[in-house]
Amino acid sequence: MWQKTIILSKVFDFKDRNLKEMIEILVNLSKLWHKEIQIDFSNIKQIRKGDLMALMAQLEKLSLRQKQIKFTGNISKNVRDLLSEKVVHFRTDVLNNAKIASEVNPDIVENVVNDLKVLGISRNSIFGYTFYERIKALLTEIMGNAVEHGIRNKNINYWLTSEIDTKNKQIIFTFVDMGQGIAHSHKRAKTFLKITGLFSDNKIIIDSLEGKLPSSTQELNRGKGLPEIRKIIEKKIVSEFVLVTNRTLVQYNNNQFSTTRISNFKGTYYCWTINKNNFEKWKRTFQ
Amino acid sequence: MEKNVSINIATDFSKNLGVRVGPSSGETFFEEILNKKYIEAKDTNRQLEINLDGASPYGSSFLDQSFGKLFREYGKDVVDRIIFKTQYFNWIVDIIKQEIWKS
Repeated sequence: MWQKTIILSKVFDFKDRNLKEMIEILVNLSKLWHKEIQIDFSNIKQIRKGDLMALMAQLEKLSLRQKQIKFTGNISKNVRDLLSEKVVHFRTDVLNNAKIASEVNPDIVENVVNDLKVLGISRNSIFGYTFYERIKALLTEIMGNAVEHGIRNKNINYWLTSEIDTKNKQIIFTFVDMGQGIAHSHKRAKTFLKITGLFSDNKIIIDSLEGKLPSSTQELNRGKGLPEIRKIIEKKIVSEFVLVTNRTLVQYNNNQFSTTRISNFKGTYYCWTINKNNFEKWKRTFQ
Repeated sequence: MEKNVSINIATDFSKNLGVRVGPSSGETFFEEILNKKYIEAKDTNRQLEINLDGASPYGSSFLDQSFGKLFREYGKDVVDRIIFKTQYFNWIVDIIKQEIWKS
C-alpha cells in the first residue's frame, strides 16, 4: 500500500489535556514512508488555528520528500473556516491568515502584535507602547532563532499566527518551525558536555532557559534569547506558555517550569496567551 | 563646549530592526554606524549620545551583535562614553548595561 490515511481525533488542540497525543500524531506523520498521505478531518470537533498551522508546517516538510498530501472527510465548518477551501491538496497558502516566511520579517511581527488592540491595550501610553515592544522583541528573537538554527537551507518556513479567543478574552500566539529543534542543535554542538555532562533534552532546554548553557554556536556572548523568553514568562507578560521541542514539552504553571518527556518532535513549537491581566500586572511593576 | 556625537537609530539606521545578521541587523548597525560614530567620539574625546526611540524591536541578538560587539572590542570606555536617550526603552538600557556589557 502506497497510501496511508491518518484520521485525526476529535480534539486536535495542543492546549487541551491530550497535548501529548497531538505531538504523537505530528511525530508519526514524519515517519511515514507512504507516497500518498490522506489527512481525514471527519472526526474533528475542536481544532485551533495555531495547531492546524503546526500540522501544516509538518505537511510542508513532508511535501519536500515528494509525498502527496490530501485532505479528506467531511470537514466541519470550524475547520473549513480556517482553511481556504473545503477539501484541498496541500499548498503552503492553505491556512487563512497564518504568516509564513523563511527570513526574519518585522512586518509579520508588527501585524500579529497589532491584535493586542482587541484587548484594549493601546500603544498611546508609555506602558502600552512598552508592552507591545516586549512582545515584538520576543517574537523577533524566536523568528531569528528559527531562521538561524532551524530552517536555513532547508527550503521550509516558520509559521506564526495569532487568534482571538473571545470567550476567554485572550489572544493565543502560536509559532512553529520544523527545523532540528533546540536540544538537537545543542547536541550537535556538544555545548552541554562542557557545562553539565548531562544528556537529557529536558535538562538541556531548562539550562538554556536559565542561561546556564552557552549558545549552540559556541560563542560565549550568545545564548541570551531563551533566558530573555524565560524572564518574559516569569514576569507574567504572557500566560499558559508551552514549548515543544525534540523530546521535551515545557510548560509554565504555578510560577514554575515543568518538563515532560515526549516522542522526538523534530522542530520547535511555542504557544502562549496574552490577556488583559498580563498587561495590568506588567503596568503594576512600574507603579 | 563641544557638542556630543549622536546617533538616532530610527532616522540614521532603520525603524524596523532585524536580528543578529541579515537585513537591518545588529551586525549591519555596528559596521555601518555604531563603530564609526564611536571612533569619532573617542578620537575627539566626546560622548556618544544614542537615541533609541522610534526604532524597534530591540531583541537580545540585535543588542549583542551591536552594543555587545562594541564592548568586546573597546572595553570599559564604551560604558563611560555612551549616553542613551529614550522615553520608552529604559528597560532596554537596563538590558544593555546589566547583561550585554557584562559579556
